[in-house]
Amino acid sequence: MIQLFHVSKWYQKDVPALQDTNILIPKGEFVFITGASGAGKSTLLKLLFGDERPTSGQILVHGRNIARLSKSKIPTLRREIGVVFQDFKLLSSRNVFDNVALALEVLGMPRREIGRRVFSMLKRLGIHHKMRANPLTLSGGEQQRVAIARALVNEPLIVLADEPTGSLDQEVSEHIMNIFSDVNARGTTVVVATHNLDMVKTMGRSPP
Amino acid sequence: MRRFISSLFRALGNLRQSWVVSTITTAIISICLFLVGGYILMIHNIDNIMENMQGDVRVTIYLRDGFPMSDTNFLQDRLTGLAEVESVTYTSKSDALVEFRSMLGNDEDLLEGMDEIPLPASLRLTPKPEYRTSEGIHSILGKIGDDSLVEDIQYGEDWLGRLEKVLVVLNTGAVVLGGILSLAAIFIIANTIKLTVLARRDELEIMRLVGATEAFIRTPFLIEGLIQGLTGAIFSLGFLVLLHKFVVKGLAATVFDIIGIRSLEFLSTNIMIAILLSGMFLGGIGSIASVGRFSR
Ligand SMILES: Nc1ncnc2c1ncn2[C@@H]1O[C@H](COP(=O)(O)OP(=O)(O)O)[C@@H](O)[C@H]1O
Ligand SMILES: [Mg+2]
Repeated sequence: MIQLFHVSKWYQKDVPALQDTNILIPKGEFVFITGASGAGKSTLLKLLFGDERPTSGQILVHGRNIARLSKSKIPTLRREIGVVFQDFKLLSSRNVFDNVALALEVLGMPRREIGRRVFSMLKRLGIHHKMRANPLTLSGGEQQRVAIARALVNEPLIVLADEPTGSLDQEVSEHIMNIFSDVNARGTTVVVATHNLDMVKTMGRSPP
Repeated sequence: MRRFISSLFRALGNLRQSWVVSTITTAIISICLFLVGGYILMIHNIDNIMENMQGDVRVTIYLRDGFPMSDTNFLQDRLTGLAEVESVTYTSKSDALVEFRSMLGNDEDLLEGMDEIPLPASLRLTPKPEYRTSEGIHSILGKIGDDSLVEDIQYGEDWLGRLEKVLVVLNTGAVVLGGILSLAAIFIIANTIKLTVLARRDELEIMRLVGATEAFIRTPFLIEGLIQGLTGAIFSLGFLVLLHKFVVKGLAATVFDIIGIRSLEFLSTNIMIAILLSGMFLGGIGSIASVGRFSR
């Protein structure tokens, strides 16, 4: 569960990026955050994974108040949250497999276990045949699947995606969104920020 | 332990990946330590030569003719009893002549035809090592006092005082130069390592994104710094050995004779260990400083 109470974020003195925001996202929910460019969508996500701190207000993630989280507690928070970006943020110095493995290496997991988990995640997303490739040689859709694999491989409770289909064409975007639906169907809370209202309409809210 | 080994492997991987910058860092550490080490080596040997010369510090008391031997013995005993004095030897007039002749060596025939050479007898006083300073000599002179037996007193006051000043300057120089070079080294090394960190900024960002702790991120950098520092220090010691050999070879044996030493010494084991540790310290501090700047 994610809760925001009267959260404001001011980067500069004159205009707030977020002002007195109250949100409740139940566990296991699939939520879109929409709004025009500059509305504060990215800022909201950054607050949730501890990349920025709110100027005021409280943020609860799984009952833990992260508004004033100390620097040393941030890694623990991030291990419970997978994050996906529009620009993928893959490392060109590592191949596909090693990009995904990084998320498990930082946990100090043994290599065998890492190999097993990374491979099964790549297979689930249908890119295991490209695991030795340099990410830069992949198509946009494939790169985003690698990034999603990295976000999911340590089995986070929450996945945050900031314009995950912003640089992809229609067909590929639908595939990516189907992956998020599937992730959500397995019980993970998914929060997707997008300025693309059409996508939100197509996805719709499935009746309970 | 497994964590350390994995950090070590990551560090080695990074060193291989960014070998150009790593080599530059290592070379800079090596040059800085070579300069400091070379200066210490020079000071160490100059100190040595000086000490050798200080060993020669003696006070020669020339004695008047015509006093009974018992007076001389009495004076010798009194001086030997002084706290500052190590030994007092008596040189008779004939001893002095023999010494003078042997000093002339092949030119001894110069003395041919001279019946009597008016060389005075003397007492030669060697101060204890801690009193072989101009201050020490002066306190001894005060205690010799006025004695009608004493004709003249000679000692190397002039060069002794100058020697002491030179030693002070050299030792201060070592500390100052060492300090400046170390600061410059830390600065240069921090900036060089910053290049590696900059080159890997994306990697650091993503590691933080997926929940890496600061320790996980920084340990490999620290290990890299320590390895670079140690390697640089080993190279600097190697170059110092070469420098030492080269200078010893370059200086002819006659030069050593003149300055009164057999050869030039190399650095002591303690100093060599200190240089190795300094290398690791410089590399470690440099990397911690540069990674720290990119954390938030
Ligand atoms: N790091 C920052 N420093 C200063 N202003 C920022 C920063 N990040 C975002 N902003 C500002 O905050 C507002 C919200 O930005 P953002 O959260 O990126 O919106 P969105 O993702 O909806 O486009 C914008 O006006 C933007 O200029
Ligand atoms: Mg945005």
